Amino acid sequence: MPSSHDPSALLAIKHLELRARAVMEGLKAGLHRSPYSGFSVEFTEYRQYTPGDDLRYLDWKALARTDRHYIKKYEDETDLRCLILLDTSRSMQFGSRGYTKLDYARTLAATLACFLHEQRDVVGTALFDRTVHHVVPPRWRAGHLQHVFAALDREPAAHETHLTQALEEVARMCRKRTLIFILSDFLAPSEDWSTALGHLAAARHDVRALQVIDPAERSLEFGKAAVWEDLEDGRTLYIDPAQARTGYQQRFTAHETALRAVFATYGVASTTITTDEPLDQALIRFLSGETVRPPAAATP
Amino acid sequence: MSLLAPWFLAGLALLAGPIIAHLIRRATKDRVPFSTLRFLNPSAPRLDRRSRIQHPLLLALRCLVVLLLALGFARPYLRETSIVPPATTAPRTVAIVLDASASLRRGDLWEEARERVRDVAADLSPNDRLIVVSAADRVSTLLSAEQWLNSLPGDRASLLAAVLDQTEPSWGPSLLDAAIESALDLSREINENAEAPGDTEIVLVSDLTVGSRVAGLAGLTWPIGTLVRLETLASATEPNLGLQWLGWGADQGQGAPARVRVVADQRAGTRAVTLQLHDATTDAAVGEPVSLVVPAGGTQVALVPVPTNAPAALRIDLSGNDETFDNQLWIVRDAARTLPVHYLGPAEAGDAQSSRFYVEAATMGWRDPEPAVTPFDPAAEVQPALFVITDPLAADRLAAIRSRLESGSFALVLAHNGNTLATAAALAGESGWSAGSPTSRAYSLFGRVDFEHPLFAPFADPHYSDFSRIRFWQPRPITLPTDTAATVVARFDNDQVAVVEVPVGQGRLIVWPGDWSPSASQWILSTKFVPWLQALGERTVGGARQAGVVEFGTLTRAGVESLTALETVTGDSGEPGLYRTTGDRPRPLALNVPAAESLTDPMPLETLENLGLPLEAAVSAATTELAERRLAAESAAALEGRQQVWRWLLLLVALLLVAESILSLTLARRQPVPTT
Repeated sequence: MPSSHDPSALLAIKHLELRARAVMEGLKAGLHRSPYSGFSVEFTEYRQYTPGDDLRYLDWKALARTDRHYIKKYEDETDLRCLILLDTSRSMQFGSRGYTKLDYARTLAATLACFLHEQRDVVGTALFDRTVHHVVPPRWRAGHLQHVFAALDREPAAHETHLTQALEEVARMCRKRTLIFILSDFLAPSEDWSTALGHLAAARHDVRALQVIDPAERSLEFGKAAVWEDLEDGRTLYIDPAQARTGYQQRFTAHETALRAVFATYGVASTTITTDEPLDQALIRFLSGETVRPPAAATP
Repeated sequence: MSLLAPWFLAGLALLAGPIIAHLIRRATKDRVPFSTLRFLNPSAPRLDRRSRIQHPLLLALRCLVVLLLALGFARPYLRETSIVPPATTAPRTVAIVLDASASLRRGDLWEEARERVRDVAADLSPNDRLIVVSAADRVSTLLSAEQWLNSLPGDRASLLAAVLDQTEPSWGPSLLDAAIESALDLSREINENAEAPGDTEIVLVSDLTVGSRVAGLAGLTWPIGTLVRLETLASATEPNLGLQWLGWGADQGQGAPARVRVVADQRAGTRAVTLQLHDATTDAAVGEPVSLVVPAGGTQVALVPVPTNAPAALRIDLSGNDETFDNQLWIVRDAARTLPVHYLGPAEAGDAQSSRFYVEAATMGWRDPEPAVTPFDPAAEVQPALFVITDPLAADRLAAIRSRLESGSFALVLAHNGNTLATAAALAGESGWSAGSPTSRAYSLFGRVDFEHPLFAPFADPHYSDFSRIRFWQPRPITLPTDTAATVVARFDNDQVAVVEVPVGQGRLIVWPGDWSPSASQWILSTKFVPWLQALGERTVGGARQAGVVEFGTLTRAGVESLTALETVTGDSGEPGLYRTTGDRPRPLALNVPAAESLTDPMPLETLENLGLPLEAAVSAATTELAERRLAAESAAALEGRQQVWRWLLLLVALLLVAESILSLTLARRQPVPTT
């Protein structure tokens, strides 16, 4: 089993795809031991090939072994689409460990895209800050994954977060039922965007939230007594972390609690990942269902 | 340790820079970016005095850099006890300029002057060099440095006393500028030859009156280390009035009044004085005295009437002035000079085409000498005369004229034909002179003129030396024998002889190859003709008139080189009085005290300062202290220049800057930098 990579070492790799492939190795090894069965693709049966069938689904291995033409049939093979929604706002550009949350999150997104693509899911991505500013729609065709990587690798325009508007735009974009991964720090007040998340969930989309936060954001073991600047709105305050730590931790915990309540309300599975966690471990934890599962009754 | 430029320590104020920077930096310059401040409440500022200054080691390094830089600019040096200004150890050269002019004859000034000289010499150290120069109508070295150094230190005072005893004040002017310059040259020469050249001090022992000549000091270059000390004589003297000779009245003939200016000191007050004329030889009063009132510091011009029967040599006495050295003015009336001009030619007096017409016209109005165009009478009294000969002469006249030439007369022969040239040759006492035929050239011009010859000397100045516009039509070529005594004074532009002068006894024969009529040349119509002829006339009677009344120091105006060329008529030689020139044509000469010596008001010190004299004299305690300070500063500068401590300080600063850079880099790397 390949050992998990230290995030700082991994994120030192400039090429996003290489990072994603490196994580993939650990991810695959980890998933073998897990009851994971995929999101959308389920093999059902073989059927005899008839002229006119799409040759893409011809089982070439079976043909080689038996010299007969079989077509692999999958359940929901065209219905479920995957969209990775990545937050590129200014708050994601914080990092206390030599890399930012955005670097971490975009590597997660790329790995996820790679993983989904390998298991024949149709994957796309959308980048947002105050609006959805870049979209690669979910498609299945050669080279599509490279487009996804390229989109994820774009430098952010550094705008503030406006999650409500982004979710509403995604809701308009996704006409069909879509598996939507939202990678964000979710630091904005949940009451601002919970309604939009509710609309998205109500449209029968499978929404899953990956909250990416820096360890310092949780503990405030960071910085020094100085003027602190809010990356989102540029506001400044004189902060002495030693003084402010206790109150901060309380308020941050309350925020997370409220966040989980919102996700639970709308049946959104959520996972909180800190950027000091190895990426493959975090993904395994996410994919193997160690998420905060919403109660079944909550799903609309 | 001492500092050469301590004012640079003001740069220590820059220490505040790094200190403030270290305080400010700590305050709120740093900004910590954070994802959101939503969960943070502002903290109260925390004051911790112990940590107000950030990175004290870095601050100390930076302060040290500023400190060393300020110290380096202040140019420190270490005092050494052995350092004594070299100027104080090297032997000095002291040049005493002793004013020996006529004004020193007043009161006890001369005695005081000698006493001052002795005092100056007494203050010298044994190695110092002394020069004594006297300033009168001429500069003379009374005591040289060699004489001083070659005598034993114990004998030097007596040597100086002997020199001073032999010296008396002169009757001449006070040429202080020439004397100081001479003393400076002697000092410079001594310093150049000396192994250890020291400072030079010029001590001016003088009454320093406004009549002293100091204008020549203006352009003098003063070597470094030269000082001028004034020893102004302060003996009590009486206010003075003086006489200045202005010349004879309008008509210089017999009976013309003598014009005299009486000059009074500022101290004199308004004085009533009397001028009385005396016979210079018998001392008898001549005429009536003239009274006049002279205001203080003012002048008054008097016309002293001279009777027509008064002798030529006179003396004017001034009464009413207590200082007697300049109360007499000796004057001599110049004798009138006449110049007989004998024209020997055929033309009538009124013929404008003849040379005679122009000679007579040109000589009209001359005052000195007074010309008289008369026919030549061989039996008349022999005196210098000018002969103008245009025709060949008979043998008897020729002999008579030659005789006159030998006794000092001048003859001008216009050789327009061969016979006239033969007459000229006969007068010259030579043979072999020949005249050729005129050339076919349209005209000739003067080509070469000897402006050093007395004939053309008046035109030597480039303003007047242009002869190129005077045309001569077909002058007759003259050929002279090789052994001739004649001098070719001018030649035409084709190298043909133009003007020839031949000495004949004491006289001169001038030969001009051609006529002076307007049809022969433009010479007599040119502006040069009259001055040329007048110069010839003056030369005939002994040259330009020389001054008959002169002062000591201006003998050359009378054409006399020195007093030794004069014979006394009255009084002793070397004193003001009546003299007679020696030589062929003796004439009386009156020699007086220089008028400037009568101006005995003290000279303002500013006059000398404005002339750039490095004065030590107006010497007050303040200036002495200043000089000492300057000396100390100079020695300190020399010491600092040798030690050059500042170089080491700069090297130390460079090392400290390297250390500071390394330290600040290390500190900057230690500082946690958040990623955004």
